[in-house]
Amino acid sequence: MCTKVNKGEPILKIEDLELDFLTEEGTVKALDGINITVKQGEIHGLIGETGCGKSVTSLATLGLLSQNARIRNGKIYYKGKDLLKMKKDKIRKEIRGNEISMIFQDPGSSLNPAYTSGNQVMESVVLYQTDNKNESKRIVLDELDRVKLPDPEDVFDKYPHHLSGGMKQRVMIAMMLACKSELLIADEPTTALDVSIQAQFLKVLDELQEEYDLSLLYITHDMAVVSEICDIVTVMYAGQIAETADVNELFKDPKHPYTIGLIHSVPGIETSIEGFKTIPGTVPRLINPPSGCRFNPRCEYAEEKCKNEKPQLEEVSEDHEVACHFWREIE
Amino acid sequence: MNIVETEDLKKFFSSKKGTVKAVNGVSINVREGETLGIVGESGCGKTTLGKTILKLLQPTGGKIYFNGEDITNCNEKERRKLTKKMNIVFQDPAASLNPQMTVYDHLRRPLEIHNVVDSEDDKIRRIIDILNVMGLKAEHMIRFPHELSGGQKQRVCIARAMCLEPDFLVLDEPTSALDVSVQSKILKLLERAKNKFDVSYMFISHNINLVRSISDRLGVMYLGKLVELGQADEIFENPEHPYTKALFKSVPQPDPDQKIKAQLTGQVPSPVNPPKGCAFAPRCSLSESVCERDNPDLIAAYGRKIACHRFK
Repeated sequence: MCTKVNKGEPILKIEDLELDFLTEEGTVKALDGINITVKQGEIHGLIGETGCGKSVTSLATLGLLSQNARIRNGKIYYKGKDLLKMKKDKIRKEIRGNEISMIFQDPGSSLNPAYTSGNQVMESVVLYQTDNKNESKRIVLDELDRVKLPDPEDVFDKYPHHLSGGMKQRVMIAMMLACKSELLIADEPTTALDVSIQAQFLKVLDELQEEYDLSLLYITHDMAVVSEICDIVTVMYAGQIAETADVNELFKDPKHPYTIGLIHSVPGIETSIEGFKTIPGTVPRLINPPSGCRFNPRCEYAEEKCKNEKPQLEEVSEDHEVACHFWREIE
Repeated sequence: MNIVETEDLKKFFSSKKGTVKAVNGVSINVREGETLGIVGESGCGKTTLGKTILKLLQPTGGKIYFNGEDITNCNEKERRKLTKKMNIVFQDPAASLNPQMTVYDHLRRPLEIHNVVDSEDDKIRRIIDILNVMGLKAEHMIRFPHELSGGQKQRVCIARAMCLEPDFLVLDEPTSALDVSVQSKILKLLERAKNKFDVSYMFISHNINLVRSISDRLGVMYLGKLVELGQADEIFENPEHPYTKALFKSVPQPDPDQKIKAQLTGQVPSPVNPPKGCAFAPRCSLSESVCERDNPDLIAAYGRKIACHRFK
């Protein structure tokens, strides 16, 4: 068992992670120097568009990468231990489920349709807590109650197809709580849910985080959800980190041109269709990514330097870093 | 002038458990040149409503008028003719294009089926024109769907729906499968195409912020019924129906200072055995005994239409 980490100390630290996928068409340079630090007790948002590498980052952390992935460089520290140096078997036994858990986008395909939901949560209890039958059932009912599922006794005996999307997603969290994990990676957990159910889910997640002092890496493409629950946000673009900042600062004073574009292209309560700004161009293919800053072909401020040199993360203020050569000059 | 109007439109499906009342008496109208937004949670019947209006589904009851003409009971041949005037864009662009057909083939077929071109040159010219309006180039004609990005595929779908210059388009969640930066481009493009071709939209979405930015009028649906209908900005400014109020409050805003204030408890009841009275009553904080007994009608109040016993 790993030791406990104090609040505010880094629990997960990803350093200069570079990762390729070997495909028939060529090498996909999926991650190009990723730096993310998740501190104990914070909700860390990871935001970016499809294919920017946000899910790959989380899979690398859990040792769940596909066969054709090659890690070229970098370190992933969990409570000071380098996960990339650990044996697969050891990660499975000691880290995955035990220390770090993950919930996926589609709760429908994450649960086994052939077992009742109670049974599936029970599996984590038996694995990690106790194998006494009565005792474990009581724990499961407790966990189901904790995620605010109405009538846990009833839900215990239900199969996934009896439950709605929001309820399934809560069973997934109950499973994670039963593992007593300290770090939760949530990959787009509300994308498949309706707004009203999403609001309920976010509230439950927020309360649980506070109650158990969980650390969360929350992956999403939804700026509104990020502003709702995250403390710190990291913006990714095409396998690079664009910006990391406190959520209030990110929305009030974004520095990276991509972050600015992203914030302006989200419809808010007061934007009309004319008020929309769009980011020109499209996300590059990562088989042959642009040199230097990967955002440079779409950036209105790009100069020669952006094509030649990859910008490093620079400190803007405490809790705010940006990877842009010209962030000081951008209004 | 109404392009499309429905009167007490109903569409029921039979299932093992009983009759699913997907659309249960909806009277709605789309005016010429406007965008009517339809919002509601999944399973409220918004997609079924769109499909039934286009006669892709045969209504169980009620009437549909298109340009003043009753099309409720038109036959298959007449319906095919109508596709020239009214069409639909679906949610998932990848699933609505044929992987074995090029972009040219996709756009050529509607033009040929409806006999609107006289020569091969004319056909190609029209296809290039519509591609340009959609922000695509002539070179995209020879591409297959797998060679296009998600946004480009959706542009082809819109081009296909638009190439016969219809009067009315149902847009069923046209941007939900797309990234935000692509989404805003598609919205701008839809707005441009609307002005150019003089078409009216019915924009169906569960993304409330999105509907707000594009709609002239708004309809809110709950369990197969309309609960509120009126000018979009007025409803967004002052939602009156308890469901509309609660729904809008559940929407997260891209602003860390604005947190979700209240939330809907519970979930949408099953459309198989909907509650006897107002369908929203079991979740409504203001519900009274009359709400559980009688179903409220959609009546005029506050310059809009509301279905709630509190507005009588």
